[in-house]
Amino acid sequence: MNPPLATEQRDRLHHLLTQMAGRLDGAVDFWTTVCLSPALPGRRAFLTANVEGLRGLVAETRGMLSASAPLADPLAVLAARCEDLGNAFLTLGRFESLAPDELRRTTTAIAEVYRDLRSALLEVGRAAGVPLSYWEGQRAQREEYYRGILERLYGLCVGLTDSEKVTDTAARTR
Amino acid sequence: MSFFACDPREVQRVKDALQYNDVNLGVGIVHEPTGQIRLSPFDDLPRRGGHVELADALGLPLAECKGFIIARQGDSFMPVNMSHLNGPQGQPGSLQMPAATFAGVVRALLGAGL
Repeated sequence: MNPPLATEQRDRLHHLLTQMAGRLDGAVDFWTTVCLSPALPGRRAFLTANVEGLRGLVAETRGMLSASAPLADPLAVLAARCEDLGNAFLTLGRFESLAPDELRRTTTAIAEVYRDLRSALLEVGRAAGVPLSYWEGQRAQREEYYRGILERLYGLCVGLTDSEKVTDTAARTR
Repeated sequence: MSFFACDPREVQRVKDALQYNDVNLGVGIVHEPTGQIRLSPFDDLPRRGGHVELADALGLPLAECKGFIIARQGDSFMPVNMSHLNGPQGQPGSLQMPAATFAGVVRALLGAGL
């Protein structure tokens, strides 16, 4: 069993869980956009930096909570799936060079990892006695927005492999 | 909406942030009913939530917004017409807003000092 958290630790844990939840949604909305923008300079560096940021939040969360029951499993899932998320996005960041089956596996993996990380964050909060409220007030329309991106990701990638479409997206200013 | 407006201070804030950290990006949205363009460095968004977080923070309905990204390449700043907001009625679909709309956005950004 885990000892009860002090108020300051509870606040910090709630902040960490909320940050991770926000970044997870941000990954769906914005990281995917970056991945699908070959004209964007520094695409891989951006993804690497943000994966590292998420990894740091996971590490701090794990460091704050002792990995005994009932937290052991969700903390392990959180760490493992965070790594999976990073790997999947770094692969998606070179989508234009992927074979169709690898692209399909990658986009499927992102959707699965998103679902698993979301569940793990909620479970860590519940098990630690610090319920995550981030998604509580989210309207069905917003849920559908993220779900729609994940469902259409493969098709968006395929549609963008036409190089003319890709190069038309950027406008140089100087 | 053929006229777009952008606060030069927001443009400068994004340019400064991208000069300071070259793995940062600019997040941009245009609110179509008013023509107002709003910008933020990605790393300044508290939850790194991208276009959705910026629209939410400003109280703008997603269905009324289009999105783009600003990147730095050397001494240049490059608006990129890509966002999931650009699908029909804020739903994911096409990632690009209409070319004429984007051209108007780019003109406004240039006019504001990008």
